[in-house]
Amino acid sequence: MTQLLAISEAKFSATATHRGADIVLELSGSADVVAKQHLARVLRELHERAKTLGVEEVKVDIRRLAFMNSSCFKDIITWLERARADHGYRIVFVSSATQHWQKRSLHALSCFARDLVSIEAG
Amino acid sequence: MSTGPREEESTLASCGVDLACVPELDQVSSIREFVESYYQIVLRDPDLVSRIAIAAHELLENAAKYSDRRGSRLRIEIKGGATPHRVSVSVSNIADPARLEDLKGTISELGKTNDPAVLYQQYIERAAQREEGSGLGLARIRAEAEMSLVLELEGNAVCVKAETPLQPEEEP
Repeated sequence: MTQLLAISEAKFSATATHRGADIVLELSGSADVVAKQHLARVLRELHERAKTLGVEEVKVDIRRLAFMNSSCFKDIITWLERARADHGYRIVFVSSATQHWQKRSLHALSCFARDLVSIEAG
Repeated sequence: MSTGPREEESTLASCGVDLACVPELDQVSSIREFVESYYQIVLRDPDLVSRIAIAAHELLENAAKYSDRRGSRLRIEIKGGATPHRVSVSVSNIADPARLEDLKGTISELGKTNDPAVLYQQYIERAAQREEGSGLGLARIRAEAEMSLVLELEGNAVCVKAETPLQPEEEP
């Protein structure tokens, strides 16, 4: 297991690790204006590493993510668009039933990128 | 059982939030967290609380980004007195005149649709092509929070209100 990147703020953290054929990106805290300063870059780097490493799947674990604002949501959309264009890897969101916003936001994302995105209940 | 005006006022007062603030972008999450904590106790419906939180957060962020600095007012109301039937989340402020036409257009478009989920997908497609901003905040309230949006204007004073009826199982 290799850590690819790590961001740690008071109310937001992001950690990406390479595990076998997959990359796991864990997001926790609140993805708001502070997270926005990092998220686009994190996802851009993640995409490049995923291509370089030739991974089959990127798992995004958001079970401990309490909220995501629309600006960060847009960064996720931009990443999905980029991943779709490169036909490189599948994306699996691991969600929590106790974070009620996730069901609604992930449904919208899966409609946007049906061919690419799946949702796993954590 | 009395259902007179005094009891209605009492119920409203016990469930409502009325907060005057000058929100900076990095303070909006703290206000949303307070709203979530409070309504988890009052409403005891986590899904409805998450919808209220989405609306409060996105409206306050818009106010922080686009209003002038004379302050905003967040109001959350549980309407209907002894038999509550509607939740509204509103943010009022003095709008940046340059943003007003955009705001009117977006709320008008979101109000006309019969299928907010389909329109939301169009907003997401547009967001994917945007360089600046997401343009998703109000559409997210309409589709994800399942709330209708109303714009009230008086000069440059604007109030954006997100509303939803309470289903019987959601009533506090």
